[in-house]
Amino acid sequence: METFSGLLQGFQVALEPVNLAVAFLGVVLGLVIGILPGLGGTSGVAILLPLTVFIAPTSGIIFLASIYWGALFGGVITSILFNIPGEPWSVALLFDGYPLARKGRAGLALTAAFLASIFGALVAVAIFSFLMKPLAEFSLKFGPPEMFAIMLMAFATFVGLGGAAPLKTVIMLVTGLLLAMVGLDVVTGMPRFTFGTITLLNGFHFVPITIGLYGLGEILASAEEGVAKLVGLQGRVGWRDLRETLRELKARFLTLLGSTVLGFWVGILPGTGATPASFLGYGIARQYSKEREAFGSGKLEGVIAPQAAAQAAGIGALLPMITLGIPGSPTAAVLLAGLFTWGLLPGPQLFVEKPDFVWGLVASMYLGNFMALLICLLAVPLLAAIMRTPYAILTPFIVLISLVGSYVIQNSLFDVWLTLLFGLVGYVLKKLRYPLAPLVVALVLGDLAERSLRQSLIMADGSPAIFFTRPLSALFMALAFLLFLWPLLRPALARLAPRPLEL
Amino acid sequence: MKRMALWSAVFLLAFVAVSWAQQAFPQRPIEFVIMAGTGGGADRYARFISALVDKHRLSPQPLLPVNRPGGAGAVAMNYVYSKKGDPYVIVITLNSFITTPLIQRLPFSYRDFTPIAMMGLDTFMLWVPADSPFQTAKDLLDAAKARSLTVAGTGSKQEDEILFRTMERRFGLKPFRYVPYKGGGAVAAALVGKQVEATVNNPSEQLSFYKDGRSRPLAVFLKQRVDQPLWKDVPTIKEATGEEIEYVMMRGIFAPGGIPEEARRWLTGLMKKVFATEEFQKFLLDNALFPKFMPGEELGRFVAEFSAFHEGLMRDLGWIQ
Repeated sequence: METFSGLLQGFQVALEPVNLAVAFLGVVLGLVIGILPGLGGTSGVAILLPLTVFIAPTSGIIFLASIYWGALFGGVITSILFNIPGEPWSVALLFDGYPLARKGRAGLALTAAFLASIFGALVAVAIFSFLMKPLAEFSLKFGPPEMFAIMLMAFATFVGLGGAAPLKTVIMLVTGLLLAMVGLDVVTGMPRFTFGTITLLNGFHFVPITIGLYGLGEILASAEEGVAKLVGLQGRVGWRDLRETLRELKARFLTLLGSTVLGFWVGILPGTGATPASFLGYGIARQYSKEREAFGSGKLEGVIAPQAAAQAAGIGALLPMITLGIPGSPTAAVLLAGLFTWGLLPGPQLFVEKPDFVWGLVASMYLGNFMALLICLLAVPLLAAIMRTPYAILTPFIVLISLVGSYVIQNSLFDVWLTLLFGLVGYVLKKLRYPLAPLVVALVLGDLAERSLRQSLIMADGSPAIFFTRPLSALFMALAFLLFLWPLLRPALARLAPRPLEL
Repeated sequence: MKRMALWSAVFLLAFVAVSWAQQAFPQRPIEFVIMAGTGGGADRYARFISALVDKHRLSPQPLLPVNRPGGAGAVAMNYVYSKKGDPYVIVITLNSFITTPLIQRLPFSYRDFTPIAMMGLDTFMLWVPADSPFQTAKDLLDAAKARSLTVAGTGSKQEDEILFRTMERRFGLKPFRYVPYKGGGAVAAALVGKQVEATVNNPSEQLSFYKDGRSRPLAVFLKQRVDQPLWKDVPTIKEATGEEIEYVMMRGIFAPGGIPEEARRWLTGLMKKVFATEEFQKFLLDNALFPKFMPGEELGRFVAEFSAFHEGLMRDLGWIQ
């Protein structure tokens, strides 16, 4: 009941003209930030945070959170249309989103991603509204062993990704892990594989590498194939896409719900956020699909699952921030900084002392996401029209925003060189038919997986038994192994099942 | 004709030079480097300070916070170090400003930077979960003499581990099982989730759990108690155990070495104005920070002492030769 009265109060707050206005402004800014690669939602929120000292805290949080919702939507566009990630969490959309666009189905891919977003958002907000406190409580039981087991689940789903030879997948996974190792070793505090340079101390950021591998690599490959082929990708758009998407979403309801719930949960866990969630969503959808091999060549499920997971994770990340004062993602960490700036203290007291603030934020999650959806759907025809621009005009523009995007992430020129280098690497790997996705996944999750593994081992004096003696961890480890073996098990299970009598 | 062009160019240059010299610092926005990623303590400070500068119009030009994370601060320090003589870059520090150059044997040290102002000292407390069997710091230390306790902290060979290792040596404890986490918030959650038995969080990191009755401070690592209603009952480590350990986190502002004296004075003045605002004072109070402002020279002396202290400590621990 507390929830209903709270929500009612929240909507009263969120529907005040000022708050509606800042929410709209936030969503629009977020969409722009999301579309521009490099300038991520996290830095967008951080840059605009000082502006909020001029407005009331409730309007401030609605403004900043709306930027986040907009950015979660906006990243989709760049990934699907240009094959470069608009946001870190849209990397998983490159795998199947861009191939769909290449097939002339950009409108369909975009519509599906946006609808998956709103689905993920609504389910997540509903869970958020009703189970806020118990979920935050439960997340505290998740220590390093449980985190490692979840990471293992993610890796298990990516074996054989892209339908390539298993050995090639393993080579790419290991390369990604090696790249993830460069930098300061968090456990010993000492530099690792930095060759004495200070630039490498920060390690490799995965976004410049992904922009190179996918964006520039693809452009180089297309240049070789001949520009003519790429002119006039069909931009067929309209209500038919919407209807087809809705049909598809209905057919994939379980996948969608599964990746949303999983994404939401990953978002709640501290230090993760929307990016790992999107990979997990993609991996799980692929693992359970009957057409695993089609993933990576433009499968609609490969677009909706990661996007629903990412959007749900974005909302999940705010849950521990509000209830416990622990940010669930980098963006939530900046919002937390906002809370302190406004002189508010997160935690259970916040519900008592500032209910209008908390519930105003929750209500704005509903409103902000709907605003983003409306703007995006209306823009789909326009966006798809971009694809009809002659490739010779579009390409230099893509290269330009790729390089600017690489620079902006960490204000580092080194990252620009990295993007160019990995553009060449991506081109060569493509020619040799090595799958790129396992490298990117290992690079993104490698640091988190390694840290949680080593933390667990320190806690257990080096004994791996810790992963199986803790009930939650044991459960997730078992799930990880099951996922890993699933491709082998399924045919066996199918054989075991009683067959209809053949007459 | 040629000669006239030359002369007019000389005059023009002279005019530009003179008018430029007359205009006061700052002429353009000042880059405010944060030695860590978004969302941490240093980040919170920097963004708060730059917001206050905007709000109260304390500067004709804004401070632009820029995160340069990586290498436990080495990336940010190297950047600021490379800007020698440029007063348009300032950096907000953690203690890694001192420890990182020592451990990683970097080609620069705190001496290569211009001290601007100290904006406060963060305190450290010894924390346990609310239902921990340890009622006092002495209980905890007695247990730690018999077995290795599992503890958590931010990073490795940084503030938290330094403090735990110092306790080990002073009290003759079994080595702690020290689990490094990425940030103070995660450390606080690990304690409340009972993943570990104790932490040495800054009060700001545990504040919401403490108010909610889920964690307890056993002692504060200061010479005297924190004189605030919320914290005045927390004993000093000396009161609790008889052994004095003082350790603080410095929130200092530094500029590159060799900046013009006029700019240095202006920056110190700006920080003093920020410190005096009502909002900043409330921020300090809310987060149990030690309200300590130091202008440049005093900060310089403090850092020299602080660095010598760390160097001795890290030599003792065998982290540096």
